[in-house]
Amino acid sequence: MTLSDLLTYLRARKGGVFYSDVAAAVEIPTLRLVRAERTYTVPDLTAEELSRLAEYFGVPVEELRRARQRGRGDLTSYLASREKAKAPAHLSLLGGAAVSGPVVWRDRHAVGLRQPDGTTLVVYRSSVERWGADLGPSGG
Amino acid sequence: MAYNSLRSIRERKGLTIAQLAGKTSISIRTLQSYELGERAIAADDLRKLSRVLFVPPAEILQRPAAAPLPEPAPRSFTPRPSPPEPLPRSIAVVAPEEPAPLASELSPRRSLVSPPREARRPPTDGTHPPRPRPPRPAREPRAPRPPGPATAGQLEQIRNLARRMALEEDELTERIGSSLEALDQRTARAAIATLRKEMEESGTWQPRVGEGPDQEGDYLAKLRERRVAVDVLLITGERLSGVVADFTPYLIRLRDPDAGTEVSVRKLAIAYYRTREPVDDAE
Repeated sequence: MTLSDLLTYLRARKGGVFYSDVAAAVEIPTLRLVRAERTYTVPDLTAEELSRLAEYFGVPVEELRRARQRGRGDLTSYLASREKAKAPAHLSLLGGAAVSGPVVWRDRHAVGLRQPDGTTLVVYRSSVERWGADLGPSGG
Repeated sequence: MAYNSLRSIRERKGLTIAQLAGKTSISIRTLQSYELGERAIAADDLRKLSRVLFVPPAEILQRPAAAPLPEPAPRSFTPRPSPPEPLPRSIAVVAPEEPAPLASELSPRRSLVSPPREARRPPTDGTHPPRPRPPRPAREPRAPRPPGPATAGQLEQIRNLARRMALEEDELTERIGSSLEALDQRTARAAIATLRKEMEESGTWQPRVGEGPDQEGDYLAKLRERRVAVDVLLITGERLSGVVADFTPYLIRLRDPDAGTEVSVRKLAIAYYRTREPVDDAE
């Protein structure tokens, strides 16, 4: 999961607090938080700001740092490569579910994976925790 | 007066007027005037509203059946029963939205009537001759500011790109022409662009898909049209099912055809959903 998605998820988990609530609590300008969640690249947050956010959301700062290692483009690249190769994509989701299947379609929010019974399983990118090689030898 | 169904559709979709303004780039004041029937909806705005609300333009222009201004509809649907869950309910189920601001609260200054411009001008009967303005002294052009050091985000981006391209540190230094520590914001921006271009050309990276078609929206529209039942798994592990009754960019509304109840689920709370059977050309 990318840091942008994780921040959105943590905000929702805390009862759907607004950007302005978080901004006031951690003393980061609201606009920076909005950009951090919406950016397609790596959020421009300092180590100090990450620490304050981790404290506010009650999660280990390591979790935020780990999420920062990946941008949304990484998952896009993975899905694009699987789609091009017509090979199944393997995704591990928040909550522990693991899904796979050839990519039927994809957009900025979700990806459709063809299932053996012919149905399409729609996965939201914000719920994807790990993918591809991170899942082990079968991950592609 | 130009009454329409904009307000009732917006409320049905669970959007506040401010949220709709944000999604359509139409000002709150204009939207309010549309909803109140003070003015007719402009063609461009109608197209935007239709696209964002996922309803045909004709439905927006339709005159409300009963009163010109319908009563506010219930804003959320609370699913019942509610089993214990590790995450707050508010992730999945629509929290009460912020109430739409009243017209009088939006811009109090606008309500103050300012006198017509002519009234503030000095009389032109010769008693107050216009004063000539002295010419402004020419400003000296400012010297361009030197760019600041590269931001933490830029450096992180370069490191990530290098990792994805499997570049060692010395290869990266050679590629961007200096060490990471020596980069300023301008050179860092150029380095990111160069590395991205290389990745794009090598086929291992694709540009962002943000501007691409809304594939999921099209898919959900087909499911809604055909009243298809879906099984939904939330990130909490909880499962829901029902027929796709409606959706917005952030919510899906599921109807239980037997009980006749509806529940709105935030997409953010969904891990995945799937139909029970293949859906012809929707697949």
